[in-house]
Amino acid sequence: MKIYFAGPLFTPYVRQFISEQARKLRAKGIEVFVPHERFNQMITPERVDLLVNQGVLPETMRKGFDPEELMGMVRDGKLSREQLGLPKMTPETIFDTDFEGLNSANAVLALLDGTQVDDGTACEIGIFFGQMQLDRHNKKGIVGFITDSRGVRLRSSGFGQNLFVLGALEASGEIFTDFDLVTELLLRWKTELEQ
Amino acid sequence: MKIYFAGPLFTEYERDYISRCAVKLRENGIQPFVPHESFNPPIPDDPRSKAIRCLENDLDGIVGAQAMVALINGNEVDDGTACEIGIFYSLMQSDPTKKGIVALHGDWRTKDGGEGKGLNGFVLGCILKTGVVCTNLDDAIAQLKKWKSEGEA
Repeated sequence: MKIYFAGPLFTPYVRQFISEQARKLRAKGIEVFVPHERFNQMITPERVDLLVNQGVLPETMRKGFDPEELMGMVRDGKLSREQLGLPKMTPETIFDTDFEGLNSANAVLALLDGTQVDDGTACEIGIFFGQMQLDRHNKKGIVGFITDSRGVRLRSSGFGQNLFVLGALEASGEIFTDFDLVTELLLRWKTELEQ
Repeated sequence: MKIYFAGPLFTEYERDYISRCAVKLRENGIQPFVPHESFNPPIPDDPRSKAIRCLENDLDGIVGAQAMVALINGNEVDDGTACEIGIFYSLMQSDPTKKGIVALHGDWRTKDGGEGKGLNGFVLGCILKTGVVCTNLDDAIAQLKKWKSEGEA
């Protein structure tokens, strides 16, 4: 089973948090598409070697490199996307690469933290909800995960979520504050899918 | 042509603005579904949650629309609006009568070269794949009329 991990991935600590949860799910046999990791596979050792030869990257990277570290350098402006051989970040590129992940996913995991559901995340919830209406068999559902204390304290009345988004989530899955429960539901969907 | 009008409708002036846009759209032969004007009367002993009622009420409008106008002003696109943009995008993929999404955008914080962080790339990409971003209602109406005549051709 493939899932798409949606969330506000704009700060290093949120990205790290998402990657950590993704690692836990991968250990359980779930394939996870993580948007901020999507360019990692496009970075080739040949390209890194070339940048080492040019003195742009340290010699140690010849033996092995962490794509996340390189993407961090891009975000910090220390390295350009062109140097790494990555496509330009236009809205269309962002949409196309992420949509590919969403389109091939059997479920969505959405991190709902923030003063509202991040707009990109909300849009992805909508796209997947729409796909679910057309293909109930391969599109299992959307699970919401919230750790934001402003939402968690409103657990009994819908976690303080936008009513429409909450409706879309209620209709297609559940919202949890405990990641073990998130994993449990995803594994249940995985079993159903494999039957 | 029926359209769905998505936007943040949480304050009196937001609802008022959207309603005024709707009047102008109707004068131009376009029938907008406006969520805050189209709420079904409550059914006694309705077993559905408030959220599901909201979803199903608005979903009727989205499913029945040939186009969407999305007001995307704000610090970021309102999450309900962003979710509706996504749903419309998905439905478009299998329904050729759905023409596209017109975003209405004038917020200085999310404008190119404005003082804020810009629009979310994924949401903007989704809109640009299916339609256009307009800075005023007249341009949006012109685009909708173009789609309307395509639909009638």
